[in-house]
Amino acid sequence: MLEIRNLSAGYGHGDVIAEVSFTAKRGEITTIIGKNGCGKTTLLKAVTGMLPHRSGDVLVDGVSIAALSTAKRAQLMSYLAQGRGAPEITVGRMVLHGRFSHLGYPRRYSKKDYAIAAEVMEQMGLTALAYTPMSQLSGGMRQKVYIAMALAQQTPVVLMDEPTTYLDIAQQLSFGDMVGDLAQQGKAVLLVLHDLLFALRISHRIVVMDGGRVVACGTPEEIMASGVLERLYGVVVKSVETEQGIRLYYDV
Amino acid sequence: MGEQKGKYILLWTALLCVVVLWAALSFGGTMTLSLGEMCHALFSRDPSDAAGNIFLYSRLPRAVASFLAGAALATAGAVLQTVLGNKLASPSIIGVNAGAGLGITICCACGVFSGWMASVSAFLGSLVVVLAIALFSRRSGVSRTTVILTGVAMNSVLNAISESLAVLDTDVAILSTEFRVGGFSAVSYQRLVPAAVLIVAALVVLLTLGNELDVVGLGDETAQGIGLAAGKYRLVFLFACAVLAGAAVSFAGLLGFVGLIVPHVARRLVGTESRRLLPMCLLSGGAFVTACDLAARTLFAPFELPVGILMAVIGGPAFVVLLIRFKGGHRYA
Repeated sequence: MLEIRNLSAGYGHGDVIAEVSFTAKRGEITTIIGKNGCGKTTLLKAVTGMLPHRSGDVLVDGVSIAALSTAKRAQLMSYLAQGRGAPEITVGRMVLHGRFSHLGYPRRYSKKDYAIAAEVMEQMGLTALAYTPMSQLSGGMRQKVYIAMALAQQTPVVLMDEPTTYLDIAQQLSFGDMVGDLAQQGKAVLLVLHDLLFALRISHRIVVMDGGRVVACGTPEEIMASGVLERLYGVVVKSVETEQGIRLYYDV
Repeated sequence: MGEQKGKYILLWTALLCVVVLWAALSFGGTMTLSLGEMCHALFSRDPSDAAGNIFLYSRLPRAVASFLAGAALATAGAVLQTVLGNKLASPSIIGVNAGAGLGITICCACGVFSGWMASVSAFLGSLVVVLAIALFSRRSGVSRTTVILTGVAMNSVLNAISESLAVLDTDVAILSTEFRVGGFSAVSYQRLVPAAVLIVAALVVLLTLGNELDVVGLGDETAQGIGLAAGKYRLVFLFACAVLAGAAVSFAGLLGFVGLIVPHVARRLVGTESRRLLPMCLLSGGAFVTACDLAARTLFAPFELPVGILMAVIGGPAFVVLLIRFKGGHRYA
């Protein structure tokens, strides 16, 4: 379980996020939504420990991350950053580096690391691209490689910042199934998403941020009923029962 | 790049190194030395043996010096290109060699011409330049091209200060023209041994940290996300580059282009991953400079060209080709 308690962090003198508290449970997908610049990415960076905490704490299964080394944190939390370049490295090696925090001496990857990387590539449909340089891939395929690298870390907590960027609609749907599987495996999945309907559809809990603070937190149904989306975005999200299940749409 | 193909290329390059070193030891002068004469010189240490003296006090230090300088500068170039995220970075272009040269020049102005003090002052000169460029490159909004151009400007300023000191101080003028263009004719064990110890130590560290170097190349956020303290390791790599460049310059002078050309050729042969790239740069950089030094000694015999001139003739056009193929650090191909 990922617990965020009264967390404040920022750059320079001001706080970008202030007194943020919520819990992302194992077996659930928790998604942070909010307008551009509300502090979603800053919050994820603070949760990973990349951005120093001004106050508050982050706990994974009751263990505070503040005292942990970078490698120990990476064994508890995998993090897909928002900025993702095209490094000069092959797909296979990139995914293998997901095992980096498990490297011991003499600093060489073990057979187990290679097996885990191969399994994740198979799962993501990347096996045939193992020797392809990242620079030769499309944005969507690169995104899949970064996701595969995060999965190869095999952590109890998975954080992803805008993971559906560059993904086409089929890949987005496939991504929704994949994070659902991760939650079913007992992981705590924390996402930042811009696509409101997609977030409401795949998440178990929604955290709404505005001005660096949490303004609402609850199940998608609770969030839709609360009116917070209308106040924040000026739209009403409604649901309709279809033969394929409940479908969401904007009522504008 | 297949696993096996990469291994074979490394093996063949290692064999090439053996051949080049043997050629440099055998044919690096007017007298041709046989393998037997070289072994005899090593084990007998007979002071009346002319061939033995040539081997022990001229050919051997020179071959070892040229190999180590090439290995150090090529490896430093590959590491700098990854850490600064710019393929046009190399110790000679961004002023790291010039920083080492200024360190040596100041050392000479203080009356120290060789030994540990010379190596350490060259290293300190390199370190200051490397850290300044690293700090500058981390500032947001500074493009990769700007970083390189800043290095080029620092290179000019540092070289100008060294030249001024040479004009103002007669002791510094002892530093020959060969030092400023790079060469091995004045190499001695006294100069070579301290630098060799530093180079071997830095190479061992870098070869051990190949995975860390690749992860630093993925960018700070990704590196930290998978468990590497990127800032700390960036400093370790820059420190190692400063040791390599500083130590090489302390006995080889301001050798240009090897740190730029060799990593690019090595990438084409074995790919971009450090576990293959760094050994390839070490071997091919060493072989390249040793072969160039052999050519510089024998092409116009009995006259000898400083090897730096020969390498500049090869390196200048190669640099222009790289500039055309890469623009602003981004590859178009």
